[in-house]
Amino acid sequence: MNVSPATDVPLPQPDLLAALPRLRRYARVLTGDIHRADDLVQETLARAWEKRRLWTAGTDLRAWLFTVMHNVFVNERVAARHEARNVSLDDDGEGGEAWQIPVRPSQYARVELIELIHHVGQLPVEQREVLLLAVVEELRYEEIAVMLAIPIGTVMSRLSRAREKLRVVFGQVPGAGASLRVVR
Amino acid sequence: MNALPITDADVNAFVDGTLAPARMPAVEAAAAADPVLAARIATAQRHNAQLRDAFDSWLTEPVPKRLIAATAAPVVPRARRITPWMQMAAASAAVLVLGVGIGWFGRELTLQRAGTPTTFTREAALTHALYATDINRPVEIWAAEEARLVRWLSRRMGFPVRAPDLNSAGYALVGGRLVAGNEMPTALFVYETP
Repeated sequence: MNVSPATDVPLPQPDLLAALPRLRRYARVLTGDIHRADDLVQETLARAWEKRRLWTAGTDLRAWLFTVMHNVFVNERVAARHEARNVSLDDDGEGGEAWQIPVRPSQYARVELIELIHHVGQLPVEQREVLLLAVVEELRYEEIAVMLAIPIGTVMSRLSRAREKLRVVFGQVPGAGASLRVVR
Repeated sequence: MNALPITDADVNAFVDGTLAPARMPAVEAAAAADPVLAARIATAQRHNAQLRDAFDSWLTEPVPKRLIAATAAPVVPRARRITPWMQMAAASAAVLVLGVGIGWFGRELTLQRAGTPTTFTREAALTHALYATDINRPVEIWAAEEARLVRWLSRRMGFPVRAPDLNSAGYALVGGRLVAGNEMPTALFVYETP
């Protein structure tokens, strides 16, 4: 009656636990909402266990979890859009999801960092996702391209656009206004 | 700036530390010659450091218990924590539906007209309470004789009946019996978790 195959390798729980804070962070950047973010993390973990045979033991579990989370998020988003298809869509333009992550002002959080998080929240989700993965998670562009299943040129152009916007709205350097040539 | 144009990709890779070493001198030279480019690189580098600071502050927050729990291998729902009574009630209720499926709607209407205060789930629960809790004889015919059980029930009910295979849900057939429905004979199948 028990039909569990013998080859079923469980995900290493210590590694999952270690990845939790980063998964939560990625989820917040994607959803822009603390509670939805934790729901997304939970769904991601459930999905990861379900699909654990797709993970190759010994490879970077965090990167694989990020991929799973990205896919769960995108699928939900597509479903939500499909449901709301009568509502006019802002077709991947600005916003979409409102950024509702309050940053608790503490003695540690400097005002400009709070402001920066706010500005990142104003970026389209595709851009802030790449910004997080490239800058904060310090993943290579090629890894991000594989993870998000997009061409590397798209990774770079999203990153450039994100940087350009942040440069305009946050921390302007006097005299810097010229735009560099964008490849691809 | 003059010979090899510095692209956005160069700037990105430079500030993210992924630029090919061979390309580094070109970017550095261009930045030295072009204050606008230099400022741009400086801004991006400053933003990088600030982004890491800002978003790293989230990593130290306590993680909710439900997420910690979700890192454990999911337990296949075996309903172990539910009492056997509840399990069997659920299982027999489900099976009663199948057993009496035919003619069900007509019977419901008749019952309602007659004012009989019963619903199918209630009937199933009552039937269950009567038989399934009898540990020694919950069923008339045990699962070992499933073929005989099914033949008998089919004959008494007037249409082919079979015991649903609930093994995939973790329920093993114990056996079954014929019980009195409100208007017609009803089949009761009892299942248990291993």
